[in-house]
Amino acid sequence: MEISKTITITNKYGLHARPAMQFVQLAGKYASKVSISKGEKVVDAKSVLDVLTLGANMGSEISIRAEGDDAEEAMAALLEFLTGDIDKD
Amino acid sequence: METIKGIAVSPGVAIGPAYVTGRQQYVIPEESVGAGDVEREVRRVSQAIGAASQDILNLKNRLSGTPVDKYSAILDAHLAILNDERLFDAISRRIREHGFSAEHAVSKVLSEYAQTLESVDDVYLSQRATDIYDIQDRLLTAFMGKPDRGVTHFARPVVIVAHDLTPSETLALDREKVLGFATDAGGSTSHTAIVAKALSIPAVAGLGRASVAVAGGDTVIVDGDKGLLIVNPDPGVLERYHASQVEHAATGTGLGILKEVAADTTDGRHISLLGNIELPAEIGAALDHGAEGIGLFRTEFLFMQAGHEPSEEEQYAAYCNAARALGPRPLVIRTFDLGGEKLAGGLRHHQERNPSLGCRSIRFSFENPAIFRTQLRAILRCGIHGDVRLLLPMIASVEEVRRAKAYIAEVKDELKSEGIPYVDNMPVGIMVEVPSVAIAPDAFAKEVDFFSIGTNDLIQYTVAVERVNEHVAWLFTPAHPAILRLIKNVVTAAEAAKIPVSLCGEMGSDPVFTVYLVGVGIQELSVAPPALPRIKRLIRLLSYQDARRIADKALALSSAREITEFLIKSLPETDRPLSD
Repeated sequence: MEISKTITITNKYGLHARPAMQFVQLAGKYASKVSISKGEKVVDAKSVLDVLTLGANMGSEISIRAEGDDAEEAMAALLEFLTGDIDKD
Repeated sequence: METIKGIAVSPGVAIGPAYVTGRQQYVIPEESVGAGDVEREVRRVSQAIGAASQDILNLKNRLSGTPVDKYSAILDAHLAILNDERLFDAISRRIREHGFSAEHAVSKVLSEYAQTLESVDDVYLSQRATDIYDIQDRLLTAFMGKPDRGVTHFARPVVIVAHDLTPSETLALDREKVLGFATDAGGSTSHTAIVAKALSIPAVAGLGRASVAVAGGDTVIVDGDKGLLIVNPDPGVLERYHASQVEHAATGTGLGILKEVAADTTDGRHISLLGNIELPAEIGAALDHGAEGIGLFRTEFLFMQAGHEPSEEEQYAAYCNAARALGPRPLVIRTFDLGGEKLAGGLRHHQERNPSLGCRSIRFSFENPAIFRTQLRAILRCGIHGDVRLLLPMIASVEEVRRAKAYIAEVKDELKSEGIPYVDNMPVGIMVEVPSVAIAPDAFAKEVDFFSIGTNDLIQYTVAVERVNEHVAWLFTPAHPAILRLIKNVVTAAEAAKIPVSLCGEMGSDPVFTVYLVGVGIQELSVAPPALPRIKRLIRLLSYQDARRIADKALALSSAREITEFLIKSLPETDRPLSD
């Protein structure tokens, strides 16, 4: 299965170091291949360096694409993370 | 003596000998290796990643249980980056495809990642490049066996002056021996700044060239309140800073008695001193510092705390708490100053290229009338519990004043028809923080009950400088002749219209400007409560007649520097500021 969703980053600091790490750890829990893109740039959602250097700051529109048997679960978990309070300690 | 202006990132004053360290420089030979040695180089990278990870884990263990423990999440992020397979792949590819040595490949790949981050059009994200350089340094250290810069251990207490400190270095600092820090790079949102605040070490960042201007052993003063680094201070300056450290330690004893006396000049002009607060809970401290009331109650905290649009009852409860705590003393409630960078909670907002000129503050309230009306209802209702006044932020045109007043009238009608008690004649005032108002204040004075000059935004909009931007922050000063004239203009218009005018920006808490503000006719200052005793003591030493004369002279000067120097000279010797 392959699904994709587009979302706007709303937290103040964007996907900076710690949230990027948490996002990647979450993506890593699923077998599906997950990618994240901003504009033309598409990166592996399981690489913290890639996600960090994507430059997903507040207001960026990003797309997440998941491909695999647990794509739906992965997408649901990642969207929940991104729409939650990711700046908190 | 040399004074370098930067960004204040952690408050307090530190005085001591400088320990200077420039940008970490490794000399990386651009060497190639033979085809037979390629796999050996790849293995060396893998070993270096292991060794660097172990270093980080050791540091984490050392920090465990200390006050900075919670910031060790930074180190977790470093571990995750270091062990990202993508990183190892990229480095080994360089070695295999180009025959780079392990050191050369590591330095190339990480520099590229750091540069990609630096180019991100976002101050906060681009500062994360420091973290990448930090990891690069760790790997290179693992190869070259070079110990770290030694900023962890010192024989005597020092002030660290560095090009930049990596987050790991900041975390590993010997707290007992580090009095303060000053860095060329960095901003108020860098990890270094966050850690400095957590450790309560005074720090100034964004100094640009401190690490080259200071020599090791120079006596330096880090003024973490004003964002200054003073190199080899003159004896007088040094003495005053020492005195201020002592005074700082004694606050609450010596200045405590000031709470009981009035802020009157020697010739009997009373200046009302009020407090700026964000939370109702701060009122106790404000009164303890001698506040006669609250001149600015910011309400954005309701959004920040609740994380959603606060209901009328939630707001009513918060405003009433504040009003009851104050009794008969005034409480000026400012409507939401949301939008731009302060936007929080569940409210989505379209992205703006230039948020401080965009849909924020009163404009945001007009865009979201349901939110605005709810807040107006809560404020009008709480008026029956005290001397509550309503303040509208970021007004730029008379039309906006009329529009806001139309909303207020509508909301009153609603409350009346619902039989809910409210105050019908609550004073309504505006913030004077957009130059359009300060230039034509008479047009606004006819429409409102009071003015409150917000100097932070007024300066930002007048001199076109956002003060959190380290490249231009030095241009941000209340001493600009245009600011002095605008304030004078506003006071004159308010006097003519017989409405009160107060000043609630940070300029009001800086003793350098107290004489000017009193002299130009300001009779109400609202400042952060801790600044109140000092301002009051100074007012009690002034005569209004002298202050008027000094204000007139200051108005005739043409540069911020001349104005600052003149105002400092006109202060009583004991109250001369410690720098500038």
